[in-house]
Amino acid sequence: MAAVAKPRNDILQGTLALLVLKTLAGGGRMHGYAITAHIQRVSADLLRVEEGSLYPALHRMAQEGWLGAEWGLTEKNRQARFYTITRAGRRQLQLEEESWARLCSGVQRVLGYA
Amino acid sequence: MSWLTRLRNVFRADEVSTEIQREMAFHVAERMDELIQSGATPEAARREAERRFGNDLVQRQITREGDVLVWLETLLGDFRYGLRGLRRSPVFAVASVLTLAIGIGANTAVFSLLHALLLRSLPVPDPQDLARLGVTGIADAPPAFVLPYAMTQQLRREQRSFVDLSVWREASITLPDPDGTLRHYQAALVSGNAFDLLGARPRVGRLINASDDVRGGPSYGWPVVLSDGFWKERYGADPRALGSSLLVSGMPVTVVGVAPAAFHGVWPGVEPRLYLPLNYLALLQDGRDDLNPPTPKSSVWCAVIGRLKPGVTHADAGVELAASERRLLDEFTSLDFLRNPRFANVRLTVESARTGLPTFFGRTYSAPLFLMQGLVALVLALCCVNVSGLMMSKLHERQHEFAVRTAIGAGRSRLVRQYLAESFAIALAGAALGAAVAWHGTSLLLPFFRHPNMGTGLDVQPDHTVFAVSAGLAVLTTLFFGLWPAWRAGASNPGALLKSRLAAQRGRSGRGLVAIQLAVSVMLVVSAMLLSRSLVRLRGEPTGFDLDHVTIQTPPFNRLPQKGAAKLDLYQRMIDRVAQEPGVRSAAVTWFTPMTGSQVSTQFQALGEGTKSPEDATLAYNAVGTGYFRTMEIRILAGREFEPRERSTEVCVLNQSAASFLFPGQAAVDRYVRTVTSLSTTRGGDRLLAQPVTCRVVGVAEDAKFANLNEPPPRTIYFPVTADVADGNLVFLLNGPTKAGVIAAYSEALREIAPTIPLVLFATLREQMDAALGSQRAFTFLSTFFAGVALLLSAIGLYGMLSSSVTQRTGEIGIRAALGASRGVILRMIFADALRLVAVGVGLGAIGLLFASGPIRHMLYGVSVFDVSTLAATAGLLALVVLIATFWPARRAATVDPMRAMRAD
Repeated sequence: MAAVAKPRNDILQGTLALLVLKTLAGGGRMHGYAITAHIQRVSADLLRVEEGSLYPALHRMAQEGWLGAEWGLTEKNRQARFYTITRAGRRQLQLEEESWARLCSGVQRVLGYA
Repeated sequence: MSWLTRLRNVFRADEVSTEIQREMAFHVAERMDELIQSGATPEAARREAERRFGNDLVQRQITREGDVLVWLETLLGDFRYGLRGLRRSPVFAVASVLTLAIGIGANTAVFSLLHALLLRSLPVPDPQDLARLGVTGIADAPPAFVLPYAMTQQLRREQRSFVDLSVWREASITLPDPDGTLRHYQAALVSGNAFDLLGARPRVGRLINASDDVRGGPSYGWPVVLSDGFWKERYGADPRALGSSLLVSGMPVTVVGVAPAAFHGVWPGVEPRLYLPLNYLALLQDGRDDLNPPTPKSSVWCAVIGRLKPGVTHADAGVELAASERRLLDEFTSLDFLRNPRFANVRLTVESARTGLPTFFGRTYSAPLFLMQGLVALVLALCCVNVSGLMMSKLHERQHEFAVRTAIGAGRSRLVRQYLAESFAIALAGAALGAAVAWHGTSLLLPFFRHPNMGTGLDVQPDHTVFAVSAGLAVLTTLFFGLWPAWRAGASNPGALLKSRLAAQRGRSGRGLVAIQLAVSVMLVVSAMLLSRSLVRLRGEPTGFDLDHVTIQTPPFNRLPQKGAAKLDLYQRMIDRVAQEPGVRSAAVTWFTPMTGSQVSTQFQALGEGTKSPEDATLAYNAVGTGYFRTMEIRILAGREFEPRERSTEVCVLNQSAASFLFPGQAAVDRYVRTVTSLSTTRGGDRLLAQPVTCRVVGVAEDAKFANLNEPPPRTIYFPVTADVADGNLVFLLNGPTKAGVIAAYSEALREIAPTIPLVLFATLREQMDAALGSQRAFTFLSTFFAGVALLLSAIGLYGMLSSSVTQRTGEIGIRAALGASRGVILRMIFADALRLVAVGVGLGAIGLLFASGPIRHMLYGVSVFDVSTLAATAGLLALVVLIATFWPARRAATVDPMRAMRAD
């Protein structure tokens, strides 16, 4: 079986999809580079997207039906794939936001207790 | 990810990865722009952009994780792993593959023969609607599917069940080889509607049609249709054969077409090489037209094939026929027939002719073929057992490996898959080789199933369905025995297995399989020995005459103008002339040749004062020329042979058993014998005893066999050759030291006396007899072969079983050795283990033999099923095989080093 390479991720495992969905939910139609840049900028450089895992993740999310994707031209006239969030994507976003909130409050309590 | 998407990815796998690559290229470009803007050199910017991306290869791996391709690749990997495993144990692989190949191949070959001879439908549209008509209720005989020709014509007119009725008749014709030597061929005479009724389409040209089948032949000359085989053999499948001329039994006919390739006539096993119109019969009988005789009661009997109208069943047709059968039989059969008590209860019958017409050939060979089929099925079972045994013993060796792999995390399904892949590779190779065995086996078997007097017989292609079934069976067995142990291995607790090899279970089921193998081998070896001994006994059986030095020749003297006494003179001149040649010791003519499987017999009684014949005696009879007994080397015990001037049924020679039966305790010479008139023979056209005869016994000859080798010599009465008999073709018997010398002498004489007559193929009586023993020889050959195979298989099985048992018990043996057991004790232990198995196997085999003794007895001659010396020989052979198979494992056990064995665990 092909060995699954564990990407060294600056972003907590499992949160990449959440971040991508959130980004697209606010920003409309974006390509991968813009998504990376947006996350980095909004998080004030606290979060950095591992670029190697972004594109496979985007593809997987498109296959799940959370994202729509189409090729288009950037303002610099480069070919890029633009992503939009779908209705299913918004539902998924809601689910992931809830589970993130649960995780955060859980972690908070543990930290506060100690 | 859904399965559908995965599957879609298989087809768009390339598309996905190029898309991602394009996206990544874009990303790198954007990143570089940014880095350059913040002051980096383009070179540094590229390096940094790519570094942030990580390894390009890693990306691709991650994206392809979702592919089915990966799954397929894993499967392929399993298969490769399996093959590697087989390469590691080549003996196991080769043994398994060969075993399967023999089982599958032999089964297919034998069943194909059986199928072709007894089960195959005629290759025509709707064969199930064909019907054969005939008579049933003959005393001590199966139904005969023939009717008088005149009756068939009447039936055609009045019946309402059939679309039509067609008429078929077998005929033996001669054709000259390219060098002029005459050869006999099987031909079919068919009514004009025969091919139309079957629905056969010509391969080339046309088939026989209604305008061909007229009395005296059509105005454009007699047509002939070739079988596909003959067309290829004689003309190299050249379409220009159409229109060419052939000398069929001396008369020119024109080739008009070729029958379909798949069509081999309506008699399975007896393929006509030529098809001629039915009315050609008169030409083959020197102008005697048996189809249109002076009275309708004496027309010739022919086979009838009809095609039922839609919606009519065979039973319906039978009912219709039964309504008129009395009238038809009274009108169209001879008084002899009607008065004969054997035919008192005869009725007309209709049966399906889906498989064609029954033949002597099929009747003779069906019993041996079914037996042979049983035998090869047994061998196939044995092969499957052996392969599974091999796999099991291999599994025991690998239990440790499996345990290790389970422990380090190989999934159960993965283990099963790899083991299955290995089994599958074996099964596939076995089936492929089995196909080759079947193809060659069929052609190897065919010569044994030749019609004694014909060049060719059965057309058999290996049957695809049968091959599929036996191959499927073998593959399934292999897969099952591959799957089951692997499943168990996966389920077993790796910890327990790893702790000690001693924990590995002893293969109880493996031992059972070996015992079964031994049992089957015992059965096969005993039957093979019995059969070979019967064959040896049969071939060595005294026939009462010389088999090796008598050569047979049946020239077509019916083509000569001489008739009656002049013909007899001609035969006598040939005999005298041939006998002058140095290569010939003696020569004679005869009406019936011994050992051809056919003889005629009728009732006789002794005549004269004081003789009380106990009852009417059934005597086989024959007409033989001067010098017959000298030529055949049959001794004359009293009186003399016939003299050249004796040419009537007024004198006769009895054989010893006939003489002592008719004249018990008295001299038979110069006494009188006569036919019992009320029971005259029913054979149409009997040229010898057409009238009741009374004859004087001039000699008594030693007993000799007549029709068959495996029947004791019948009571026989010999008459001189009469003018009537000589009007047919007589057989020359030529006794000389070598066949070549005899042929040269005969050819020389023929050139002088009848130069227009061609040579016919020569055969010695021994060759003729061997042809007649075909099925016996085939069966003996095959059973000996299979017995050898079975013995080999059980030896392999026993060896494998003992060998893996010794491996498993190494620790135990080591302990025993350490505790002071001598090598002898250990050897005895292993041999005792083997002998227990052999005892069980032999016991089972003996029980099996009890059940099989019924069918085997039919094939035996002069030996009993429970022949002591055969059983002893089998036991000896088995002991030898067991000894050899046990020797190596036992020696290995005896040389176990106790220290090493105990340290290993």
